Amino acid sequence: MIKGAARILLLWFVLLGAPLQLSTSLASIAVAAPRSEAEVKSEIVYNVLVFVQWPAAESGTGQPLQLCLLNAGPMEASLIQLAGRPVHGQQLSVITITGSNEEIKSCNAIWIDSNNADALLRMASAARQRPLLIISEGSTSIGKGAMVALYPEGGRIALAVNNAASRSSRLMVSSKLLRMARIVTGGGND
Amino acid sequence: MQQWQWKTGALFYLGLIAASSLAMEVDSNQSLAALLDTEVQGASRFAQPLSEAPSPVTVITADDIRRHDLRTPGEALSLVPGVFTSYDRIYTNIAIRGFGLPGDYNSRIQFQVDGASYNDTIFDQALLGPEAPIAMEWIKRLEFVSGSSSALYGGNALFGIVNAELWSGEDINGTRLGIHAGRFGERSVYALTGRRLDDGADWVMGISAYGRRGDDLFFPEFVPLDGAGMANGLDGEHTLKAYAKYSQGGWRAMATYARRLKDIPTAPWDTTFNRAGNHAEDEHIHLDLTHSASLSALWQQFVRMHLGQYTYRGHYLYTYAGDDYVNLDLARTRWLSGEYRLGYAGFDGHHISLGVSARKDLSVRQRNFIEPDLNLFEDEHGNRNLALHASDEWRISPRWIANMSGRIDWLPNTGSITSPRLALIHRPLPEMAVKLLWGRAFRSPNLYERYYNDGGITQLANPGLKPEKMESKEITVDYAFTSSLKGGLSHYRYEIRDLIEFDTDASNGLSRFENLSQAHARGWDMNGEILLGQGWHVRGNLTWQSVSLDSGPVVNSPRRLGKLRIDGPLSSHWNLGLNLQAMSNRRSFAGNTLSGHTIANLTLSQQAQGPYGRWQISWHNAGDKAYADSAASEHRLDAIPQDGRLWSLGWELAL
Repeated sequence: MIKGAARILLLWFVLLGAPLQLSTSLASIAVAAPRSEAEVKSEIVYNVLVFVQWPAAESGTGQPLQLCLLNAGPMEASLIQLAGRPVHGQQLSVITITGSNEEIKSCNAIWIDSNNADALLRMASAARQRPLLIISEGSTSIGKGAMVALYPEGGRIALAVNNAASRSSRLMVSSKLLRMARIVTGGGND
Repeated sequence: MQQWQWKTGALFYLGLIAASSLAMEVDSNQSLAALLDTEVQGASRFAQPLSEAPSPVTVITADDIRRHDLRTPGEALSLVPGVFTSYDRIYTNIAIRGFGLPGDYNSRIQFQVDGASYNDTIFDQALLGPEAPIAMEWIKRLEFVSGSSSALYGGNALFGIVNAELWSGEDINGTRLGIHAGRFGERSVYALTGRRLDDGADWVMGISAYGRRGDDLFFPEFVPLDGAGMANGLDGEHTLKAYAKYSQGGWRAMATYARRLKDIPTAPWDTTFNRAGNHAEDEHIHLDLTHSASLSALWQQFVRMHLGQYTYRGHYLYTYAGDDYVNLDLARTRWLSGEYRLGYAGFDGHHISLGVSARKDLSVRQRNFIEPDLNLFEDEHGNRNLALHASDEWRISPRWIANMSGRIDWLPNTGSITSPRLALIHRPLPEMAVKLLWGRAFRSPNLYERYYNDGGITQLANPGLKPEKMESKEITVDYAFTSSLKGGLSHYRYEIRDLIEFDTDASNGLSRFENLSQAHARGWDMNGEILLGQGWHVRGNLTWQSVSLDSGPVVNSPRRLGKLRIDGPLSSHWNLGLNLQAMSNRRSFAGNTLSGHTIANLTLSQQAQGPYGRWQISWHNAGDKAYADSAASEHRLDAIPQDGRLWSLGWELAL
């Protein structure tokens, strides 16, 4: 009996130990290796999606969250890689769009190149009609319609959040995300 | 094995996988913080990777500090191209691009902690050895921004700025304890604890203590006086440092304390050799309060108030006709400084910053007296200054960035000084960055240079000293050959006029500080960085530097400096760090040649905490090379021999 239990214990130890060791060593490799800018920004976008809440009616049960990419340029390849990741209990869907109003209707979040001021304004007005999270680059895009902006500071990527704009689009930005943002406008959550 | 055992095992295993994938989403909190803290390398038009900063920047992270067992800010700065340190067994002096005159007080660089200037207001010095106002275990990253930065930070930032960014509670999130032991009776211990609370408040506290017995040292220059020429047990050193920081919302309050006591074995100023009683004490107390806020989406505001106090006590033993006399040197200053900055990001492509800074000495005392109360010198002059600064970072186009900044300083007795700086950064190709830099900087004479005198016996005051003025030009080209091979080349020219030097009048033997000469420094710096497979990283650089002074030959300025750094994983548990520092011959104070040398520092450190804590072993000067640094005029010695091979063992535990 004792011999059998010892064998089981050993087997469990080996089976459980292996993935733990693998994941910690993978994690340490991921942290240690130098990261490309697109990779870091995409990971940040994924985290932002996790920390924003869409209203229950909108997200619906079984409906995957849709991230649309508009003129993503160098970011397109790495943002598309986010497809399939778990967000709010569903798998994330990522598609590229040309920016027409029809296409926008199916988007829950949109990544937009900050140089396109017109498109940014159009997205901002669309966001007033239905919950749409607008993510862009450059701290100035916050004043032009973006709700979350990624911008470089001191060799790293920092976040700016326009909480007033996201609230008017009926989106709830988690206070954890607000805390980590360098710039927050529109106050915290009540 | 029986069926039920397999089933339970399988269920447990599957449960663990499910739990870990759930943990992946829940763990995002930690990973987001880590992502926002990740250094980013890339050639995108939106990024400002380190290579797009307006001045050459070298970053030394806490990881580098651990991998190379860097024990002081001076040792960390030795990793920077064109920089080396000299030690006279009292203070560590820094030389940048061939400029490191012995007896200088490191007043030509500004030492900042979390952005606050820590240079004291009597000597304007940056303390870089164990006497530094902070402990290495508090440092998250150390940045050296080379080149004239008076345009932003005022006087002192002549050759560069060192900024130490310290840990926050969030980084520590627990407690860290560490113990070190090393050769010559070296012992040190530290504790660091901190946390980020759910409501966003963040606190961190640390305390560090260090002691070293030191070696018995032989100085041949003292043999005629003393016979054996041995200074026995007189190289001891002790430090005690403490740190606390609290932040909430946009507020941040920080306090640091550091005290160091060093025995002096070299009998400077004709003090008694090989007798206990020559020592120096440095004490730094700093309180810093800042607040940053975004006034709107486009306006950001930053305010700082800083209270600093520095005390130096020198205890010197003299023996005349069999009687002992103690001469005490005292310098104490307390100052208050404030800063207000506005940042505006409303103009597309521009990032504008405007600010006003002011500093006032609240109480200053310089005193030299013979115990108990025979004053030879006492002075209480203080200083104050006011400055306005403005800067604009302008992204002209995807390939061009211009960085313009300027500062006007109003100094009493001197009037106003303008310090402009221009940087132009061009990316002709995604892999290449070309930088053109031009700037003007100044250094105001400090209170010691202006007012210190010993009653007119050997040294006089010179209140009329003028500021040193410098003009610098630099061109840098950085090229990324592949994603794992980078190289860079830069050429610089510095012109300094009204350089303040300690000058002796041959006719009467009296000395004082004078605006004596013009200095010219020029050189080339070549650097390369290779990422080999398996996590090995090699960094090397060579500097050709030449400094000339029209007042005479230059001391302590090697023509060539070379550095090589190799880090990587030796195994899955241990990292290897090799840090080689080489320099060519230097001229000593008395005109002799201090021969060139290569010093190797080797460190083995554990990658992560094991079940018995985290270990590290290092050998500084692993090759046991004998070498010496130049002394200055107060020493009977011309050259001060440095330590041979020093072993050190460290243990750390994170709870």
